[in-house]
Amino acid sequence: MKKMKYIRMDTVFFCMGWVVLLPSVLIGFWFAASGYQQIGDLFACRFMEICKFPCPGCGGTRAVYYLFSGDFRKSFLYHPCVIIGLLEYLCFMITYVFRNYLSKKTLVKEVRISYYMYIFIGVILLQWILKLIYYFN
Amino acid sequence: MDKRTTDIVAYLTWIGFLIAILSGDKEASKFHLNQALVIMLFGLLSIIPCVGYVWGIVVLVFWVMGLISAINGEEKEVPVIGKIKLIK
Repeated sequence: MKKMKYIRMDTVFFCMGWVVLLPSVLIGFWFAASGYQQIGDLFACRFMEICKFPCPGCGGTRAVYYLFSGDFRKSFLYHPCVIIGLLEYLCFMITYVFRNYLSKKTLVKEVRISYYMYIFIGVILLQWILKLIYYFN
Repeated sequence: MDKRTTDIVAYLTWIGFLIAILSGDKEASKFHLNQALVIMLFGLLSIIPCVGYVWGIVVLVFWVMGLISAINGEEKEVPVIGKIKLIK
């Protein structure tokens, strides 16, 4: 059987990062330019309507809106995952470029995606718990 | 189908999973069949508005991780949901 080439996980995610960069930036600025009221209502949370308390994703759309409007403080307060996700993305891309193109080491260590995912999920759960505590008090 | 093909096909949507489980090497690629099933079941949660969109991104990343490990012929668990065993 022909031996297949080993595919590095971080390389795939690095390529995916480049692919999603331009569309997400364009959609983000278009969203910020067209105003929250026009599009924001489409993403209204059905979970909140039914259960009467916020879900782990509540505030995400407003956070994206304020991020692209340039109000980072409000964005972080509405949903910290948006800014943390963006920082993780930048961190991953820079680490990958550094390890593969700038570092002098011959043996390139793979960038661990799972650590980024653990941080991301941890932040989602933490901010949800804080939101629930604040909501029920 | 040999083990590696079954592993890869199992990740390609529900249709691929059915093909893999019906005509693939079920015993040898039990790990990836189980992982693909778990990822796709958790992926169903992403139809819920608002929270589902965030979860959808997370599941998409898990799916890519699972698929790449299947292509490489490894048995790497995906984070968080990789420990769940549905196919024994």
